Amino acid sequence: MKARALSDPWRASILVWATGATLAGALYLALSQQPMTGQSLAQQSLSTSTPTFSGLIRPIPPRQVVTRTRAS
Amino acid sequence: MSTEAGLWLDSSHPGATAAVRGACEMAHLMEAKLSRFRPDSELCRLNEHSGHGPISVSRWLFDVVEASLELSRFSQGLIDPSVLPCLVQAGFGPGPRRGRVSYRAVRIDQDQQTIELEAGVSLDLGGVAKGWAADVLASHLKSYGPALVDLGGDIRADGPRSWTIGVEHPLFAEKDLAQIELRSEGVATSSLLKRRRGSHHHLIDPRTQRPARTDLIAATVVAPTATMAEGAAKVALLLGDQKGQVFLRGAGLWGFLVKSDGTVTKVEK
Repeated sequence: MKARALSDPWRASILVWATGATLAGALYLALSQQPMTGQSLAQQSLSTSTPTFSGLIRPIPPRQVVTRTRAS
Repeated sequence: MSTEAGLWLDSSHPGATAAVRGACEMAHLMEAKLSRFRPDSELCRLNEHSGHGPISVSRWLFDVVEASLELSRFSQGLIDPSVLPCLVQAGFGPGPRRGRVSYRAVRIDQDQQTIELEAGVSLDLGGVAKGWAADVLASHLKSYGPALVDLGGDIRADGPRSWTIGVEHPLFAEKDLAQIELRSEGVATSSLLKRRRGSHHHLIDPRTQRPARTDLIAATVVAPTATMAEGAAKVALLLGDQKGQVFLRGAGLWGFLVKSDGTVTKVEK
């Protein structure tokens, strides 16, 4: 699943979680032209971490619902 | 603006990661300046200055108040940032329980970057701030690639790609009533079923200065910006099913209206 996703330049993304008292959610950094392997993606996500971020790789297939509009 | 946030950036730019991190920090700063729930916020300082003449404000506060007043004029007063005392009376957070409700009592000076509130006037930016912030953050990110920003369900896409967005059903949160493709535009949902205090909901009708009475329970609107989408969703909700449909078509907007019996109407452009 991960390898297939990484072979498609559209589908690789880094998911970074942000935490805070009033703002919490997901930050996604999608890489559209990635010449990297899954491992280098993971390393990049970790290297971009700060004390408030941690990272993992997550694919976004075409037409997958990315998020939802809702009342809050 | 206490809320969940999501930011997506489709980019191979070496500065993209830093841009996403910077956008997150911008969101925190916006919340610190614009929240009425933080006594040290710039908005609270502005409200405390009511009746004491113009006061210099930051670019962000000026811009969001200006956007809110534009929505007030566009909606002929159905969006009014001065309903804060009504919200407080209905049990929604801190602030003055009495005051004057009139967006016309708010004056802005573009050249001086000042805002003046007439005596007794105080502002709540909850009706526009999230949409405005989503627009600003998406605009900041789009120089690195197509961007999507979701602030508590108020969403802005910016840049040359489309994103698939679910429209949460107001009665059945686990399912979507529709899925839409968003490309360089905004979408927002307003509902009477969230943020309730007893029998009261948080949507104030400026005409009655009380929680709104409407045959709709939710409205979702797609518009050129998230600011416009957020404002238009509230207007449609206040107007109710029939007038809401007329309003959206007249404004060239589209979306979904949900009645209290669960009936969903898709309003085409």
